Amino acid sequence: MAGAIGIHVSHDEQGRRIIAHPEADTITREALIGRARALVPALRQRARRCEEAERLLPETARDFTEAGFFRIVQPKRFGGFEMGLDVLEEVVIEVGRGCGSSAWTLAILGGHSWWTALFPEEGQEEIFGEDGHVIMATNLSGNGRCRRVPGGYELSGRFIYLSGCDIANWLCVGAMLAEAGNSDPPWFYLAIRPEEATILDDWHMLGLRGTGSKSVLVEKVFVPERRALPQALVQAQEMPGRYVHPNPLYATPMLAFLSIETTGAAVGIALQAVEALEELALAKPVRRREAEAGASGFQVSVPSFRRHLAEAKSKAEAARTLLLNEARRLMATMREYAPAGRKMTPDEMTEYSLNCARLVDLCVQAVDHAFAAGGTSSTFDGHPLERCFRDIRTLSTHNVYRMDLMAERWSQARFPGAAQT
Amino acid sequence: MTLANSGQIAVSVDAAGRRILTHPEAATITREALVERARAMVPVLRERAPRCEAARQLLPETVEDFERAGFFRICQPKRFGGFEMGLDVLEAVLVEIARGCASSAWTLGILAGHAWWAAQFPEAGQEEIFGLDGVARLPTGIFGRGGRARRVAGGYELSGRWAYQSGCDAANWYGCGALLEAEDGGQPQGITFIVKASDGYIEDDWHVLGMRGTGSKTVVVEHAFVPESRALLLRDVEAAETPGSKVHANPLYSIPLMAFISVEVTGAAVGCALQAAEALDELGRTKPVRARGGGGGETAATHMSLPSFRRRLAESKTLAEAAKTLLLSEAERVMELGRETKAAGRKFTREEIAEITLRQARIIDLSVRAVDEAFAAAGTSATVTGHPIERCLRDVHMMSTHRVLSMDQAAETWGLAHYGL
Repeated sequence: MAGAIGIHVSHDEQGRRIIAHPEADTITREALIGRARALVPALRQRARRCEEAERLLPETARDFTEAGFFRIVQPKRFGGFEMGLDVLEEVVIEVGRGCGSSAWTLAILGGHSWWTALFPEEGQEEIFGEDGHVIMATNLSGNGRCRRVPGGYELSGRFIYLSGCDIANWLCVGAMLAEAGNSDPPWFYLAIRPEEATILDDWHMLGLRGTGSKSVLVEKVFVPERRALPQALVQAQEMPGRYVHPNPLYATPMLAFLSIETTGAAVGIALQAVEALEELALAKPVRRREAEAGASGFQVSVPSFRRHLAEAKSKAEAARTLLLNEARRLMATMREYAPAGRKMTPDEMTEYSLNCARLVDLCVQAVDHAFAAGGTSSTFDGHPLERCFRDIRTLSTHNVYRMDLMAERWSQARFPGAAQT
Repeated sequence: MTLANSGQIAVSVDAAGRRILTHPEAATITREALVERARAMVPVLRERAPRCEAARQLLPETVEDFERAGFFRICQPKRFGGFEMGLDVLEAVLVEIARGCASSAWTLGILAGHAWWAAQFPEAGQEEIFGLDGVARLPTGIFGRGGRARRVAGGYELSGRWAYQSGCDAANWYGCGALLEAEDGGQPQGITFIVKASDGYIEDDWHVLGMRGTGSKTVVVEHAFVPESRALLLRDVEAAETPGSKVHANPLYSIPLMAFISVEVTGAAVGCALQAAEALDELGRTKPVRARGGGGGETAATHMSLPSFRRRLAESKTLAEAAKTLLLSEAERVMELGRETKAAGRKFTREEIAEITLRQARIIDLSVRAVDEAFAAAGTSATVTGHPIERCLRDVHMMSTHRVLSMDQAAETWGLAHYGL
């Protein structure tokens, strides 16, 4: 695949391998957004099949690869474009206008080439490999167990919700170090090959079905030290990768990055619903009783329809503006903080989560308005409004977007020690 | 279809030579007994709910249970084998049934409610429709205008298609609205029929977001003969001057159609909300809270320990219970208004009818909010296919798209009536 897009491998003065994507110096934000926009009709046409397959479709994965979408926030040294999170979000939003599941999966997999860049240099060299084609599915919540063995760790565990695992060439999971007598054991993010794990077919959900966020089972897999990222370093914003890549992007705290990463999918879904409703305005006839009330012809002539459309549209567009603002604010903050060695405080970090939960809530409201105006005929299987409803609701249950949890997390960071329950 | 109770109906002839069907419980049945029977079915309905969804129809065993319990006969005239009880009793039963399965409750509301509708028809028609066993189960597209009718000797010839015929699989009659061609070339007028189920067929097109088990498929009738006795002019329905209102002395049968059908199925939404609140309550005791910080493993604490969870549960529970109180109070008020207007020899005003519908839309809205609160508190694990909260979300939002029950429609209709516009 990489050969087809002309990856150039060379070595610099220090003998380090340099992987160069042919577009690395010429690609622009506008070009990427244009490519994403051009994919929307195909994504809409594939959306139902993507849901039924319960995974990202192979042809969509191929389209994303060819468009360079997985490389947006990937280091240039390893074949990426090294652009900001705001560019990734703009692309994800456009993709989400076509298919919410594909957008979510792209956000996860595209975002995780940034995550890979936080690992020790040797590990990055291995994971990015010869061509920089890294598709990494993750569960970073640390439910696994590992023990020290010579040269690394032995990993076991069962991990849920690994979006995109079917097409991944790497997996990354969190695991606690099993050590006798340690009440606060250290834990690690460990990268392994998908062949070393078993994927369980257990993603049968309300929505975002096409993300294929299945469970994986890992039993006694050896992970070398170089593919272990200590959680303590991530927590301290001292990831090894920030000293490998000078770009402040790689000094960004995990929580802030991940809060924003998938939010573009929510915004895209909301915009998709608005567009679907707008189409109904001039396509769906009004019925007799409305016609008697002075309406005529199509839904656009019904005052409550126009109100719902205006509500949905303005909420979805506000969410888009807010998201891009958050992503750009994060990038600007890192440009200021990273060179000075300044770390983000917990309340600065959790504010990104809180703001993203708020704007996902706006997206839910936008879709609800579209759904209310769409009527029963929009609830049939395969109708975009029906799918957007299920997708946005499922997305809103992600812990990062639950206002209940984020309000609490932010409050406790803002008032440390004082806001105990 | 064979029916558990059909053999128990006593058939006699009164002094005027009219055939009288008497249900063995007609003189003794109470509201409390019916509600208790419904409550006792909740566990089995919960167990059947996934199968009911998958079958996309009211399960035959549930039809049999409802028939045995007498639920289809609640609003049916005593003379034709019914209990002749009020809408308040029907709704109290539906609320309990929907605590188990909203689709089954909705379908019961439609089929039981339409035994009342059959009682609006000319006496000879009712005698035919209720037959010898008093089994009249009919979904209806009363205003459907999905059909065209023309006069023929002794009646009409009817053709058409009617979407959303909840419970059609369990029906022995279909209600079908049509436009009657004017013989003199003038404006066609609205007419509504009751057609033998054997004179039509079902198109299996109910593949939708929620309320899947209602089997609200399309019914098709082609060139069927319908006798005069099974026809009603919509003009007479809208003027609340139906032949049936003169056949039965009970004021129940003088309630205007829009008032009756606005209340008819609301219990399904209210019960659905209670079901979600109960499922959430249970989850508070069973769902573990993940540990904060390192490890991300599970703790001994369950969700009841989270203030935000308790708040959501309190919101959900009070919204659902308020909806129940309002529904039962409103159903009683409608019955009282029926008695009052009949005694005074007056009709319900346009505004009175619109207010009944508006209040039902408000109750549906409270039910939707109760389920939304439960969904927000329950997390991603409650979005797995088959989880009650996932099903309640789909079901209640689906119900909220029903035209009669949507706030948009109800608010506008009421506003116009209120100002006499």
